Amino acid sequence: MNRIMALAYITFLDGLRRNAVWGLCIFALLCEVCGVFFIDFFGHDLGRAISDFQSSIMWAAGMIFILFYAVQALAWDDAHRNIDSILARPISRTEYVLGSMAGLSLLLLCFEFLLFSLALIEISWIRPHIGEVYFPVFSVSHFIATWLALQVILLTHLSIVVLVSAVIRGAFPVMLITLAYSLICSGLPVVRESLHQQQHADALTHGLDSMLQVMSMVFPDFSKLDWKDSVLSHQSLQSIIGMPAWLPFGLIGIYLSVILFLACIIYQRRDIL
Amino acid sequence: MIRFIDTHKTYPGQINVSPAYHALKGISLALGQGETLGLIGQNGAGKSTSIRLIMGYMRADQGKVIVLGDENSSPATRQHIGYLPEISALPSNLTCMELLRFVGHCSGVQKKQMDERSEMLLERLGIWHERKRRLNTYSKGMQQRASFAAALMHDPELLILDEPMSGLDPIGRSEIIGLIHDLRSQGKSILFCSHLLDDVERITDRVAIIHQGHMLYDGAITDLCADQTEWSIDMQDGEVMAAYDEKELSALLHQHANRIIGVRQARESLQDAFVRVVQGFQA
Repeated sequence: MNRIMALAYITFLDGLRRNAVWGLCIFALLCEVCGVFFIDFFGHDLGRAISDFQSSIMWAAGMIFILFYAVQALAWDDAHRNIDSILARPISRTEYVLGSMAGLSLLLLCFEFLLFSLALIEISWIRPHIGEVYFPVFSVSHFIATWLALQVILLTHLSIVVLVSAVIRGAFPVMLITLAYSLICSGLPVVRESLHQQQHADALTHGLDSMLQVMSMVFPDFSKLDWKDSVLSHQSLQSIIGMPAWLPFGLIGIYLSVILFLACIIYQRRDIL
Repeated sequence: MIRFIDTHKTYPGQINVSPAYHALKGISLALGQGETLGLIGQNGAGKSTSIRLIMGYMRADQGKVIVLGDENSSPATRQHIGYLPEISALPSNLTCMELLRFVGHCSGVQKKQMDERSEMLLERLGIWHERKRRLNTYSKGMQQRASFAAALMHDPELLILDEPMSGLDPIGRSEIIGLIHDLRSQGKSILFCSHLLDDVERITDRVAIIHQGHMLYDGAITDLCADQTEWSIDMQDGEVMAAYDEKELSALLHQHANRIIGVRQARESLQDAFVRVVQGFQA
């Protein structure tokens, strides 16, 4: 555990000192501040618009961090032989995978927490300045839950980056595969939905549906963790999302563990050239 | 400490890019406790592959590589190994002290001992005053020294040094050679690779020559470098005379008997011996 923590710490520290991460952070914070200008553009839906906008900024900034920083950081270790220096210590490959994941996750969560704090401050500032009719309800607890769900989505993508980096060398292919994964995860529920809406279900449709069901185990439906709508509601989270809130967290937690387990296995078996 | 037993390693080829490459073709080698061995060979001879097998970065296709009695180079084994890679690949945004603390934490070194050892090593390597600077602002030679300090941080029994003189100026090279001599006298086992054969001769008396994946020679440098039929005669006034055969030597000894202070038989340099062995194999 000490070694995982030590590795996570240097990964975090290294990231914290990279200009690219700070550049992204400042850019995302500026984008969030731009949400203030929504006051002049939207009428009754201002509350929804502003909370959606803030969540989208947090999601987009997190994805940029994963695709352009985390991918590079792991590829850099491989290409520049940092991994040699790290594994020359009494660190197992499992500890390397978990330490790198922990360090990058910590960096991502700190970055996202900064964005979340600014979003919360901004929404809390805007709300009293406009009439109740434009922004009637804002649930802080639901906003926190939405943010947590978003972090789970981002951490899953990060684990995919770790897994793909174990299999393939080079940042660009890892980035493309992670992007493809993300697109499949978003597209799969839409395809399943359209298949269910078909009126004439034949054997082929049933077969296709079964195949898509199996695929959804590999490519989870992250829309189940998209709780943006709950932010503007007084109702309990369970009644809005239609299931206990812990359930998707638990399922994704198992999924994430499996992904990291596979990444560890692959790292243990591969040659470090 | 280290044993290679009929070890083979092939790098897989890439479709339409490169064929499979047989890097090690059944090499056998042993390094005992307290011994120092210089592994020499041309680029692509198999030196780095051998080191990567020792460090457990790769596994042998055939044969065995046993390090400190362990066949898999587990983290527990690496606790006793200090490795200096050829390219000083360090987390570039860390300071030298942060790097050493990381190494110390991973190796289970106590904090007090960590601080003492960091100071001692960085003082010895001449970068103590630069310890708070980030590694990406270091020159190549300084990075090599920092990397050396990291390799020695946990006081390992076995040292694997891949091109330890790389990027160092002549003074730096002398300092590192002095440090390696100190480590030898402490009874550490040292395996090192270098292209600089003069430095190899200054560090060790045993070499292994590896060429195209074959082990061509493993033994003492004195046995490798043939005595030549050439003598140097040192005179009292500092003059050095040369004799190219025994008859000429005998004549000079008679002629200058009262001025001679010593006679040395010239010996082939390691560089020449290396070229001879490699060319002999190719022929």
